[in-house]
Amino acid sequence: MKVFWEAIFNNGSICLDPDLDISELDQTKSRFFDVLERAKKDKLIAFYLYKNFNAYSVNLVSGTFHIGDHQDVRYFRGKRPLESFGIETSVQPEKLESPYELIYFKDVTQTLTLGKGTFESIRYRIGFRSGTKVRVIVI
Amino acid sequence: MSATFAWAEDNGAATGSPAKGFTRTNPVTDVNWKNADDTTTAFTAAPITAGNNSFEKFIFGVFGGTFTTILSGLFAHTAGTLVTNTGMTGNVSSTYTTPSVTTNASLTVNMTTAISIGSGQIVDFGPTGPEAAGKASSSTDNPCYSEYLITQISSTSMATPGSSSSITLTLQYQEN
Repeated sequence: MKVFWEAIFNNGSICLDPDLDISELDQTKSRFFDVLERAKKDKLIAFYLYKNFNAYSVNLVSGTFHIGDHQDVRYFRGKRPLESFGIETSVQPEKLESPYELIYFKDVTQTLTLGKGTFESIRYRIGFRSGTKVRVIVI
Repeated sequence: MSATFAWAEDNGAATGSPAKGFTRTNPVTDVNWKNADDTTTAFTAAPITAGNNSFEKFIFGVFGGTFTTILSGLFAHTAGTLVTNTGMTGNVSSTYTTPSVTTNASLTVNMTTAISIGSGQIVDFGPTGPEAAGKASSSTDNPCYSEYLITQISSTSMATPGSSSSITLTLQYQEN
């Protein structure tokens, strides 16, 4: 299953090509580097993560999470519990003050097992930071 | 492409400054604690006799490909049970010493029992190699290395003969 994301700015967007996660600014960096660089001059207003036919998004204007399918991203947090989407961490964000700073990471677990070799698992963490407080969901 | 990861291991005499293993194997796909300091000897050919220790294992993570930041590393023994009357100690450090069967007093963390990775030891990252000084909780250097993830198995004279069950070591981190 391909996982990709889209960062929406006030004057356009940056998308991840899931087959080519390379920055256009620095060939040693991932494409997310371009998001961080552009966010230094343009306002980042939303971030979408597409996985398993669902779109998970964080609105960086309102400080809210939205979840829907690829064609319909109108399900708002509260209409359906986050658990129904298989999300382990479900934090109903209390109203935090803007501005909201994007949080996006892959949580990677690498294991090395005696006699059985290596294994990798990946989960995705998106959310926002407001001052010292953070709100994230892990997908 | 995104970030790539490989386990690696240093063996042999401490070499250079800062010290690293004379032999570096990258990648490794297995880990066996045994009475030999290498990645090739079958553990059945170099068993740990009751009352003795294994050679220490100096493994580490190597990151390449494309990434923006590697951060928030944790390391732990997360699955598998050691046989009765054996134990595991460990530490996370950039200090390499020539592996031996002598009890390594710097391995101060009791890793005998499997724990959740969230309770693991903090791992820092940086450029050049696991032995390099100046590692930090996050790194934008590419390639990037973890500190050494050092472990040693000890046994008492009452240790049960035979092979241990599978022991799983886990390195968890974040990347973007």
